[in-house]
Amino acid sequence: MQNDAFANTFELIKSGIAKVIVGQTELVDGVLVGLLAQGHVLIEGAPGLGKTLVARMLAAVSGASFKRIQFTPDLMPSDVTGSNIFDRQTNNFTFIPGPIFAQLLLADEINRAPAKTQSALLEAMQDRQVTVDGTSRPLPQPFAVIATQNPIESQGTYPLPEAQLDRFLVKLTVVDPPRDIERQIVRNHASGFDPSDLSDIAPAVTTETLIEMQKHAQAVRIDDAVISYIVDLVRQTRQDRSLELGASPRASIALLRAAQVIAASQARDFVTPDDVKPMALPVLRHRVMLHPDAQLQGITADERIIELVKGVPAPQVALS
Amino acid sequence: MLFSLQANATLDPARAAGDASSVAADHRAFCTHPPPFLSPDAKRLCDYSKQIPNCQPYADACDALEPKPSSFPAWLTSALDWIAKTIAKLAGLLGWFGVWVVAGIVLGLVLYPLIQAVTQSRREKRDDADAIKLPALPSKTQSAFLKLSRDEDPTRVLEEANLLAQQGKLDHALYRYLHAALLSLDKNGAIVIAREKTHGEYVRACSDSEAKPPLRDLVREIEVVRFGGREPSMGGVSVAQERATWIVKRAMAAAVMLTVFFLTGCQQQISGNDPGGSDTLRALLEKQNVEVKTLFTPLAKIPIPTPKNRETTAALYVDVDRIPLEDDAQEHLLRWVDAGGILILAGSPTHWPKALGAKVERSTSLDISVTTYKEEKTKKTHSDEDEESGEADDDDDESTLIPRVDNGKLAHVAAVSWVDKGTFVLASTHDEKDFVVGELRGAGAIYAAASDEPFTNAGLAIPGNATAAIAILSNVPRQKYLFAPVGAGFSPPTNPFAGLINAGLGLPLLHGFFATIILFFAVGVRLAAARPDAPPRRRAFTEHIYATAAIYGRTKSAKHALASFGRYAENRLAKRLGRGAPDIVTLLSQRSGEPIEVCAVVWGRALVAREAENDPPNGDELKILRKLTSIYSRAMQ
Repeated sequence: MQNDAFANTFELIKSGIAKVIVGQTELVDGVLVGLLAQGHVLIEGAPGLGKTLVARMLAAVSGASFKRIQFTPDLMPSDVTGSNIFDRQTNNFTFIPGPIFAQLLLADEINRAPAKTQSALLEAMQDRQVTVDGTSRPLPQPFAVIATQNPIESQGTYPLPEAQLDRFLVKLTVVDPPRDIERQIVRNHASGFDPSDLSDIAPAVTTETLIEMQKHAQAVRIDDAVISYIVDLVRQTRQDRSLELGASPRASIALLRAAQVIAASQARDFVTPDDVKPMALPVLRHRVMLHPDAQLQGITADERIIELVKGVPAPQVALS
Repeated sequence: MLFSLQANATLDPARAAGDASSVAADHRAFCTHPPPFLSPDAKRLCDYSKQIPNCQPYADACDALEPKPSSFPAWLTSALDWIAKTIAKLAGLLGWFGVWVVAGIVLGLVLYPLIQAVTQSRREKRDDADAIKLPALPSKTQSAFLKLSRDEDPTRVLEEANLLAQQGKLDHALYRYLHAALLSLDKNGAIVIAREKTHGEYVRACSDSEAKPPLRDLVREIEVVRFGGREPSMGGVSVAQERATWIVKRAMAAAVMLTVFFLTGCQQQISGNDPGGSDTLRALLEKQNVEVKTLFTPLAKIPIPTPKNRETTAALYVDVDRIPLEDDAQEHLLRWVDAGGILILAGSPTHWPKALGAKVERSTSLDISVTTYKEEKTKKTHSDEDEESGEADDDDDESTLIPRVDNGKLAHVAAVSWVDKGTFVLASTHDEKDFVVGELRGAGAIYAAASDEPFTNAGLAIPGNATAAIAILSNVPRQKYLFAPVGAGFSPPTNPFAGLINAGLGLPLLHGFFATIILFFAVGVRLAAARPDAPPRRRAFTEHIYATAAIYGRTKSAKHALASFGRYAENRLAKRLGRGAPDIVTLLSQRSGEPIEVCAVVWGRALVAREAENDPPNGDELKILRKLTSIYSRAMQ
């Protein structure tokens, strides 16, 4: 795949999603980057901001198979992965695949399920396979989990453990749309738009193209200076006194992958620090844990990361 | 009448009227476009406005200043006046009160963050000392040629880049082109160079919209080489050169325009729109082939002439009604005259240097006369010669002084009484009072007019005044003139305090100084107050411990508080103790910096409190608890 072809296809998918999703450019970009970087995406935002619709639109435009799991407190791991069912006719156990066997899985309100069910996703997200009764089954390619959670309600929720959070390539926060955008959304609905019916949306690309794009992004060149910059950024989170827990080396890799996709989306075959910097926040914000003192002072992880990024010199030709 | 001889052959009163008419077109802005609010000088010269031909706008502006006759009865007018004055007094009092309140608020706003900063710096001093230094970046990004100082000159860096390109060092040349572009934009204020910024951020943040596209092209060329791993090409270098050169030149042009803008003033000045200005006089002198320049040094600093250059030193024209002379300026000017300078003063004698001893003289006439004498040689006839001397002579020429009287008109009566050994009169009013008086002083001379009116733009627009002015100045033996600008009479301050005092801010400065001293001591006393041994790092938790301990203390259960905190500390410290780690006392001592003996005693008391909770307390449990929390918080940082 050529650089220009990648950039054109990237724009094609974006414009396809933009036909239905008004505004939320950062959310769409972030989800697309997560998918093409072979990662998973955690979306946090209040209800009604279009989180689920973005995931469904991405599936519709990319031509990937799509499943949705509504996480609830009584959801069992087997409800996610599937299970072996005894077939009385053949006297054998037959594996009935769960909804996880899809190319694009929407884990809606993931923090409503208990830790046991959340952990059922761990193997799938990391190794892209599911083991049931000792038998491992590979998941279809490409595979990406788009999980959503609501930051407001805390009653009856199970916060995701750090290990689980670390598996998400990026965490995106959705904010209220500006007034003009909201007016446009309402106008669309007034003119007959039905978000539950996306059958008219034709896929803009095939899953083969998506896999090809993933491989192309992975091959984007990255200079040693940029690698050092990524490592410095991530290491900085471990040295900050406001953070009880810093980001792991997996965060460095995630930052690298995300930057490669950003570079490829701009028809470049090399990464610049400018591709890395804007991705630092979505990649790092869910991998750090604030110190209790910082929490008491009202400091947020986003604020700390923005400050930390400012403190790391960017590799540039001009150093002051 | 020796000093009334026309000393300056260049200036010719006979053609002054014609010259004045020819320069009038360019310097009558005060007539056609008078300032919306007339200055005191402009108001002073209003009496001229009706006499100047074609000067109706100025006359109208002057008329507008005249108080309108009141249509109210006298008692009502006086009552309204009294009310207005009372309100003005009250408003003045309120204004003063407001000023002091605002001053207090401003002082508070300035000092509050300072006090906060001082206390914060004390609190965080230890944190800074312990701050972990970031590892240095790989050497590739810090190689010498990549470094850029903001003090470098963009033009020089551009030249260096061109040289590098000629030498074939294309990658270095590319980097230097970017340096040059960034430096010029930084100096121009379009971007701010910083360590943490990427090239893309410079492009996006560039406030010069026209420089943005070339900077983007430049960055693209460089990033392909820097991060893309490509070999630099001549094509890329020429693109970079073109873009960088454009940016640097544009920034330089912008800087020049900015300088010109500030030098010429933010508002466009209309030449000659000030009736009290001296634009017409300058133009008139130039028309008469006299070199005219503006003085750029303060009057108190004007260089003293030396015997060698005294003849070539320009005459100095000072309008003392517009340029108040400070004492040191007055003294310096007289020294300057003594050394050979020619000083022309125009304005009320009360504004002249006090050492001259000149006084205002009463006069009733607005008309002035200037008498000048021109020396003419005439041929003598032999008969006459024989009659006078009775002997033959080959030189038959004779010098004759031809008097010439020129009349001028003043707007207000003005005359001077200045009688001294070397004084001589150059112009008088029609009631025989002195108007322009000269004095030979040392190696120089002073020519002083009792009013600047005949020399102002408005004054020179009156028929006859130009001739009179040139006739007066024709006595000045110099071909070059320096005009002192407004403000030249003030001496530059020798130090910042002198500057503030000169500006009338001496008393506020004193107040500020005492307020600062008081606040300094107030903050010092506050900071010096007894405080706990070390500011606890985890304040929220420590405060909780203190609060809990206080409750236990009130319930006579301080021992229980000590035991509880000891148990909590042991649990937390146990998590920090890895394999082969020292015991808790050693750990506390090593990490907190407290002597091990102290740690042993404090920790021992905590253990005793836990093991013998039912024993009666010693009474110092709260003190031990405070010490333990202090040691613990430092150890856990």
